[in-house]
Amino acid sequence: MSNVQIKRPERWSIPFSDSMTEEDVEYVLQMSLFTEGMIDPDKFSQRTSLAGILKNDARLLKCQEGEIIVREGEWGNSAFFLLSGSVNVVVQRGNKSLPAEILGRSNVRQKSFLEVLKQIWNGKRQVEYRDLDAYANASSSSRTTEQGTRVFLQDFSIALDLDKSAQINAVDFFGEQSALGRIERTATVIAGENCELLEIRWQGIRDMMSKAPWLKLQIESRFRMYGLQRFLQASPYFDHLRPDDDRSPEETERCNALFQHVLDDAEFLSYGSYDKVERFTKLVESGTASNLVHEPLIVKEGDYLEGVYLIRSGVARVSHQAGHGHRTVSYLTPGQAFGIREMTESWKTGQQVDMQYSLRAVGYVNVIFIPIRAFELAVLNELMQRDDSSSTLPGGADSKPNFETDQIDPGLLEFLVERRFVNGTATMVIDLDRCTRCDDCVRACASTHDNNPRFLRHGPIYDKFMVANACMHCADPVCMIQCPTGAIHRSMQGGEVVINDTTCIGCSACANNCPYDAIRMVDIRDERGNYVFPTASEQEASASVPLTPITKATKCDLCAEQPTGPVCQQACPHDALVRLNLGSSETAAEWFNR
Amino acid sequence: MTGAALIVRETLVTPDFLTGWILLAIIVFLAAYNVRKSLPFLPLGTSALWLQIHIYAGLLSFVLFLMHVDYSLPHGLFESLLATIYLLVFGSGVIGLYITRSYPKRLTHLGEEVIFEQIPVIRKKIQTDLDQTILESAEKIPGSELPIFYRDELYPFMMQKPDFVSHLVYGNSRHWRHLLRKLSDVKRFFNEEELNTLAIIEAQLHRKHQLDTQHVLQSALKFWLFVHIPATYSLLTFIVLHVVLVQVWSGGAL
Repeated sequence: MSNVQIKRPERWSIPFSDSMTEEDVEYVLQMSLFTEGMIDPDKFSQRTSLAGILKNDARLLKCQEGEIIVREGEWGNSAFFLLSGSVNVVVQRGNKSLPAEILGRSNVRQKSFLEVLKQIWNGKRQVEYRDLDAYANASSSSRTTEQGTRVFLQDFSIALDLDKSAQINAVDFFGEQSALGRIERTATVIAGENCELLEIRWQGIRDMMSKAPWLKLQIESRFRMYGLQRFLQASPYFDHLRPDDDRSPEETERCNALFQHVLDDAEFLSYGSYDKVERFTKLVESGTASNLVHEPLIVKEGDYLEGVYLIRSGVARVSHQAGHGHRTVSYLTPGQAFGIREMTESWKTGQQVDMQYSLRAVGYVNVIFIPIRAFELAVLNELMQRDDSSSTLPGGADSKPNFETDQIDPGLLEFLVERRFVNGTATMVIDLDRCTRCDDCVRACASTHDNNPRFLRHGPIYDKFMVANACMHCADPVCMIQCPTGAIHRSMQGGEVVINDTTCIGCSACANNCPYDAIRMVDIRDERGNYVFPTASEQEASASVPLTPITKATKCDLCAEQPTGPVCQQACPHDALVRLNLGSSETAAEWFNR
Repeated sequence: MTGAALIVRETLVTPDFLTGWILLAIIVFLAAYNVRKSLPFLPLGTSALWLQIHIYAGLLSFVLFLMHVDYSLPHGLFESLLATIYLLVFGSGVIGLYITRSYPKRLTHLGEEVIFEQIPVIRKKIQTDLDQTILESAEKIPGSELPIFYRDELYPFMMQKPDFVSHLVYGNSRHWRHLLRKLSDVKRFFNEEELNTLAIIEAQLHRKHQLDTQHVLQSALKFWLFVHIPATYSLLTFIVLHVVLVQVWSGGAL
């Protein structure tokens, strides 16, 4: 038998962009960022040289005025160094931010009663029919560059109210919090004048941080100033330290000092592989997803209690040693904490308590670690002084740990966690013991989407529960990463992950990134049922590309426009189908055990 | 006298009119469920809630029906026909209720989840794969009895349509039990290589048998509605005629 040999895959086997040349790297290295000691090329090892990072983890972007660089609410895995020119950062959220339409998004609006009634006649439309006039009237334009398609605002000066924006001038950087923390972008950044940017994927930033103390310090201080503060203020564990008008100035000062103490001591930790979603689908296919070796250990059962772990993003598995393996007892989603029970017990009894469960990263997880002393001082002592029982603390000593109040069948829990369905905020689960296979759900979906069903009544099954191939509207939607036009986004109204059909360019990035096969690419048609092809001029521009119909990404939109909510659930006569938020194990357990 | 006043007077005079009008209202409401199902986007309450009310209203209609016919057999051809159609609708509804409450569990216990429309395609694929396996076996093992056994005993099973009554009543078919016995008997005549091929064939036969059960159960789950719904529309038509006739003839009686 002969051995088949291939080159061992390495860190830079697949560069971020093929367009980054040696000349570009030389050009970037001449920038003040690298020549004035902020990031010193000599500090990098030969194996992971700065030139190597720039060549393989970065790309140069030249943006025109009005070009959208990042959008508020989208998910990105890269940061940007502004090398020349300036950019405008629009920081307001909600109604005060830039209109959704000019950011390439759809403005999801609930239909009026008359519009709902009109749907009775939509069933006669052609499959995947589109109103072609809608594409012609789009408010934003795109241009195709070597780096892909980029969208820019047609009338930048009118669209951007400069009072609401801050300007960043070269040399500076932005986007690193979202890239490293895998959280949504908190602002929209638009090129203010023709500018030059160095976009670096998160792996490159991570490596640069390890060798450039200046960069590490900058990123950490920005994180503490913005990201960490916002996260901890939203956490129920620090409710008592929030600003309160009824407090005396001394008391306010003391609370601020305690909160600052937590901010200073808190650590930001990341576990798991960031962008390897395909790895987990392979593990599931090979039947080894349940092997915990693939899940990085955050805390080990029996370890010395060092502090509290707050989940900032992603999903973590809580497990208990059982025989030679581990039994999953629960999972934690953003905002939930691990170690509170041990902490309060230790603090009450004055004795050392070891960790009673293990915590592992399912996929990519960001954790805020608060050391024992800081937590005791700022939370436990404070609550005791106010004669506030520690049992009011979620997961405190007197309350049952939330892992044990969950009543989900252990096998089902393993199934949901190992296949990462717990990421879903509206996972379609079907109770097959009740489902009569009548397909009323599919027909209802089709009737509300112009005769096109947006899910398949098919999917993995555990016992009597099927998780159907429908968009789960993930808490961590990896489908949004790499969308070049921002067409796939969270609706500002209900938070559903929706696609703006008008700005979708059919690149399939979202469909390829979705590990649950919930996004389908379809060939669109006109009112007579004819496939729609690109215009002649576009074909000529890309003569090497074969003639193919224009495609669009489609998926479940959770009937965001319908007054009824998801009609699949409404249409099930036997209460067999539900859109379940698996981020809340209590809600899920209630349904599974009904 | 206006129509409404006439109805009020009639219902006060004879309870048959009262039960009749209530029965009509309930049947119209029961029939409206099918309309609601075809308009899922209208905010009219969940289908599950409608079904629950549909079931209880259906049961109530039977009580009213008995009261309306005065717990006796109807007189005349038209009334007999009307009563028969009502009983057909009610009976098919009760059977449908039983089917929809019990068959899904049986389907789940079969293990494999199959979409009804894909069953013929999968069945065809199994048969093609089996034919291929037998052809390869005949080439590899000269003089084997396996192809003959396949032609005489297994192929007819592969080609036959599912036995509805056996699957529904016994959960199994006579042919299947017969086939299993034959398979068991014939094994003593085969060598190891033939037994290996037979094991592959047996697995596919089991799959075909499962598909037959899926087909039968899913058909039952779908096709009871093909009796229930058309019979409901017939019932409504006959009720309209019944009301007209009663109104025409009751004038003199009252």
